[in-house]
Amino acid sequence: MNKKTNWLWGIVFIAVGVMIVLVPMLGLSINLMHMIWTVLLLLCVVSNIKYRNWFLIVMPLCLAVWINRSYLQIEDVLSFFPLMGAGVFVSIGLSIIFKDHSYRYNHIRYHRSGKHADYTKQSSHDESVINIDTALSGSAQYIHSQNLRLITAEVSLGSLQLYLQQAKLDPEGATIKLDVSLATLTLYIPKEWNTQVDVSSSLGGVDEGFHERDYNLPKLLITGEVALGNLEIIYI
Amino acid sequence: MKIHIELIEDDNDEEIVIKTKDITKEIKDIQKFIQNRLKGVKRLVLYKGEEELYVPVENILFFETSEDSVYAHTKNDAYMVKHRLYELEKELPEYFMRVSKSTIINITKVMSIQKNLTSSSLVRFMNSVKEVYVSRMYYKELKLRLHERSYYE
Repeated sequence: MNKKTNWLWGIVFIAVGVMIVLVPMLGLSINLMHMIWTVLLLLCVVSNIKYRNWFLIVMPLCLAVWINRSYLQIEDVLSFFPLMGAGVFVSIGLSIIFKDHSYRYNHIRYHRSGKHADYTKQSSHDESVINIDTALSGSAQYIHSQNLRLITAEVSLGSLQLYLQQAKLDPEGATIKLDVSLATLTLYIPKEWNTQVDVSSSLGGVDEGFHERDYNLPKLLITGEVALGNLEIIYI
Repeated sequence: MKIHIELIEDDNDEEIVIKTKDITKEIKDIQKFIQNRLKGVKRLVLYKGEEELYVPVENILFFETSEDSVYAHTKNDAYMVKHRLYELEKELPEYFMRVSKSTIINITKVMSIQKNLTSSSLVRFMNSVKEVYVSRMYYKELKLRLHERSYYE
């Protein structure tokens, strides 16, 4: 868990504790167990949006709907197994369209293998391999690496501007791997660089300015996917 | 109001004297402007590769830090600085202001601020494609300082 997630869970648990005391005191007709389960299920949904683990987004939503069916007045409309079945099919469909990235689990394995120091080092903008992860915020990052080989940039529910004016590519070339979902990513790249764009988009856009590249320079390959977002490449 | 400059001998102290009949807002503004211009370092030692440069601070758009290093950004270039951000904050003139954990900007070079749905707002600089984000904590103070910007120009 990171600091932001800790705060979220902490605040939710405090709120649930307060509600357990307040609901009987105020004589409210709310089923406490329903409320607690609904909150926990919604937390599960929110914490999996970033990783696009569709099963853990859709199925908890279906369970929350089922638990609160009386408040939503759908008792006579839907029964349990059809609702769960629909959830399974929707999860599968979304997973096919938008590939899920269980980085959380890969990240944990990476930590356990004892390579935490290397991972931290790779986050510096002076190194040859740089990892940038932006979620629910805006960020402008300036890359100063003098032998850039790889940038992996994940942006979700926010915006990222990446400036490469001061960077130099490794003589073997470099790659930028993007994963943009519900977000905007803008790349500022020197116009003479030998840049090749190979990005797929689903319900998103890729805007690339015109530039005359120098084919004698090392190649920069931009690859990855944009889902429900926008990638803009500006040559300067 | 006349402006008169008098050259003095080397062994005399330099001073600026404003002769006025009344201390008006205009006089206070002039005083504040002169004080701000005199305060703070005028040039910084910056590094680019093996080269050591002496750059006037008014040419710097902002300072940003990543992991281990601090960089000073001009319109088209960036240089390494051998100071920490908190050290720069103390030495730089008043028209430099911290706007996030990792950024100090020159407010005289700000062209616009764009409010964002996320927790930070986007600052654009004059005649440059470079941009930085202002965190929510510093946004109000930045707006206030930008309104007072005429004192620094």
